[in-house]
Amino acid sequence: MSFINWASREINCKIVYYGPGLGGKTTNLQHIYDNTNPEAKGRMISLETETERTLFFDFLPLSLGEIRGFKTRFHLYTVPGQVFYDASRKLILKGVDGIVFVADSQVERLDANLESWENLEDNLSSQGYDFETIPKVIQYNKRDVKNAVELAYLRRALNPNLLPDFEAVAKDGDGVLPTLKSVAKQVLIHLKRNQ
Amino acid sequence: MSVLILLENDAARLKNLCTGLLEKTCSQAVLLIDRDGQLLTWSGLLKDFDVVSLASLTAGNMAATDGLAHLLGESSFGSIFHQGDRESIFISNVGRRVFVVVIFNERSSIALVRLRLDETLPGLLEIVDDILRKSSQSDLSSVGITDHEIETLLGED
Repeated sequence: MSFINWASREINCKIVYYGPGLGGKTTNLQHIYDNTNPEAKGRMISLETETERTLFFDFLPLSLGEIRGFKTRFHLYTVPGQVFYDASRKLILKGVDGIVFVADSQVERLDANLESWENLEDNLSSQGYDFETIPKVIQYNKRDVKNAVELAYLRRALNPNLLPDFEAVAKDGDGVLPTLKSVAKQVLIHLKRNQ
Repeated sequence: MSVLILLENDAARLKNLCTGLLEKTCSQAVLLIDRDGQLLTWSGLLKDFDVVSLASLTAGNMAATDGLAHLLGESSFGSIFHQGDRESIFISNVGRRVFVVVIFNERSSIALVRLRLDETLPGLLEIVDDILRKSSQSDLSSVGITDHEIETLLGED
């Protein structure tokens, strides 16, 4: 849920990075954290297992500039991608304003991508969100791997509605910031138009 | 998508109550946070303290606690207490959308925090309900942002 604070002149929004396990959601946030000016970001928090898999969520507060004297602040969260953490995913989706779906381009992860996408739809719908209209961006990550599925095939499978989408190699930072800016822009436009 | 809008006078009213609670409980900090992890206001000595991270983590904590409550057939547990060697945290619902966090040390006690919070909660709840009612009637148009300004801020490089 967006939060407009007139006292501190801030517009705060929540963006959740969703997708299958080991797809690169945390890597996206880590790249953003590593490549943002200190004054524009807060501390990055990772609640992870001993094997560095996301247990509950990662969190990164980020400022993307000002509009009309209002700071635009985005709270970036990731969900745990592993199938059995569904209860945690539902909790983290509460109050979400925009979604980045991080798909894994490896051919053996195609089913996991589709399963995660369906899980996203179920979890958003169960919380009263209109899945069709909530701002969403798809990122095809790991485009550098040898067994990457053809982009056209991935698009047909995951993006029949032609949502904004981006190719990425998150570990190198490719495509990470354009993905973020796209979803942030959609969130603000959606917020403006749906009041 | 719903929006929470905090106007300046409501922020001041909340801050006054938080400051009063801070003084009456001899605590170190009092924070009001919405369940999505947004910090509404806070009062107290939090020099170099990361209030944004605290807001996010306590919201996650409350969300997980709600999940536990539902598993046991409860609608909510209402409050959480974390006791440390020096610092402790007490978290309590202020209605369904907001919770209050009190951080205190050996200068205070859980009993005092609970007592003073019980006295303050009705006033907090009244203001929070007022904010939620106003939020449902307000919109982003009061900020006056245009599509062009959004495009300028976040458009393609």
